Amino acid sequence: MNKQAAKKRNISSIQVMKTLQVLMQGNYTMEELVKILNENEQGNVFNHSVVSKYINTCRYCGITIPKIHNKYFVSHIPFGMDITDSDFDLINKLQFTAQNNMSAKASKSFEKFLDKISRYSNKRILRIAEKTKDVTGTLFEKAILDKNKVRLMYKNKTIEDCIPLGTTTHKGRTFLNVFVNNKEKTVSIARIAGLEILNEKFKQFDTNTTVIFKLKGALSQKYQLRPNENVITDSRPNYIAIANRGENKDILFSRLLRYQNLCEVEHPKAYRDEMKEIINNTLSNYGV
Amino acid sequence: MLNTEGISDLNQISLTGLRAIALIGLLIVKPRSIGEIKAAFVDMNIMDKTQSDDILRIDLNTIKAMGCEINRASRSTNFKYVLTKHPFALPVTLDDYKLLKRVYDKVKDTVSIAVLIKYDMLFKKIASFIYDTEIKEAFLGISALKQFDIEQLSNLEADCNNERTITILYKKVNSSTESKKEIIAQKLVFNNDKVYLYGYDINKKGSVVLNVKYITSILSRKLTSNGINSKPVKVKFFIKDFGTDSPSDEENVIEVNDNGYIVEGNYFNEFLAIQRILSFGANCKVLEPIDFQDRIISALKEMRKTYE
Repeated sequence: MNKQAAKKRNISSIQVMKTLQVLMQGNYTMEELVKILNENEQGNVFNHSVVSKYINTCRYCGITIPKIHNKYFVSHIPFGMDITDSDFDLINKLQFTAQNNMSAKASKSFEKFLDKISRYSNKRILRIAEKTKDVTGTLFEKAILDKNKVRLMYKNKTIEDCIPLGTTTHKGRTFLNVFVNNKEKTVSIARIAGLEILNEKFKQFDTNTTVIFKLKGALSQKYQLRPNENVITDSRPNYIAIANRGENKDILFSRLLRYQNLCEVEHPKAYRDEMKEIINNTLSNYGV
Repeated sequence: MLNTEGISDLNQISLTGLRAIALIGLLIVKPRSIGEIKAAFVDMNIMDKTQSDDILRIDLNTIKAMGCEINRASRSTNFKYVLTKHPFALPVTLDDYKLLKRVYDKVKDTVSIAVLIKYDMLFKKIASFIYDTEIKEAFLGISALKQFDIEQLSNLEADCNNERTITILYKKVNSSTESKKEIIAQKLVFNNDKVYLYGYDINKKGSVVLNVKYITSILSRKLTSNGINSKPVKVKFFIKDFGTDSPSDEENVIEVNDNGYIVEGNYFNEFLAIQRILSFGANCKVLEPIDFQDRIISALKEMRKTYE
């Protein structure tokens, strides 16, 4: 390589790329762009006409830089990710889940991540919808944080005052976990017509119940531990005892019932008794 | 890539800037030799073929000054410049990865294998635009199907959609030998990070649920459907409410009354039907058939003994 060429650089090329880099980070007016670009320069290297020229250069490269509400931003780069219609659908599903099943903070962070994907895609429009707030979920989370009891108003017009414990997502649906009448209960958010935060406070509630259950025979051999589980006694091939922490009680019970007589809830006693009660109540459905 | 046709006034643009961005774009797509870059530039009308290659070397230095890392064109790279890092790469962080994984983990159990395969491909696509090795590997590890052969799953999914008969070699983890099975593929199910093939075993004349991980080879597939009823276990039951669950693909609500729902389920085999019914607990009562109701009662009695 020619040694002279090895040292040379095109200053205006570097400035064009700096302009593009800034535009890929956010939406800016011309004044904001000039200010940001000059921040790391000695003197005012960038001005309106120079930046306009650089934006034009990027546009000639096939980079789409719209100006909306007086702000410039990159909406498409030709060498970016090829986001297909099918990818759109997948992204939309993730976005919907984040909006409806996660905290407002997490949902907002996820929107920012999608915005990055959007800027680095080769699609001209990536449908990033405005965040919709799930009022019930937000109020419920606030009540947990402030340790206030809540009043749930159901769509069937009944009312229930309870201690809010947390939210659970199962098979794409959101549930509120509450403590009412000395029992944990799981309520689908779809059943809720309204929620009121009561002034009455509750004491810190341990929602991280550890349930110990025994699995016997063949099931003990092939059972795959969940991320919130660990084996506390391993007597395979006869049985294993598993500690499960913090899983929603109704979801856990529903799963353990499937294991039939190969499963036995051992601890806490209240859970063991409840499992027994479920079995007896189910048998009584058949007059047994 | 370039929209150079409209360049009528060179004062409107920076030609060197245009070349720099074009060069990054060309190298992102694939490694190129100096000759290939020149040919592309000439083709794009942003360089004259009589101009010296040194112009391109200056362009390469310029983009390096902006943070591009480019492997020297050598024999090992087939004399091509290889772009290994650039300032326009997707700027995702480990926090983005953790967040995406949290959201995906909420979605993965609610979608079909076909959709999980699409997510797997999307994550691979995103990862291909990430240059930080640690973050790239993190993104590649998000997919619930990361341990699976995606091509095999796609083929099995197609087999299930068409209820094809496949001949497979199957080897359980504790078994020392492979067994040959002839299966009518019916449904591919993702559950607790495992993939199961629901099917009908032609030789055993019964339904089977096979862990896809243990399928060591697919020897053949018949492209036509076999016509065997894939969901032979029909159960009618009453349910007060579905609680934390909802009707599955196999279940149809046939009547709604003040107390609850009458549902008809068509299941792949009796074992799965019993598991499903028991999971509803005291909310559910089997109405028909009576022999299936008896099996549920027997199962419950055995369960009751456990707690005596």
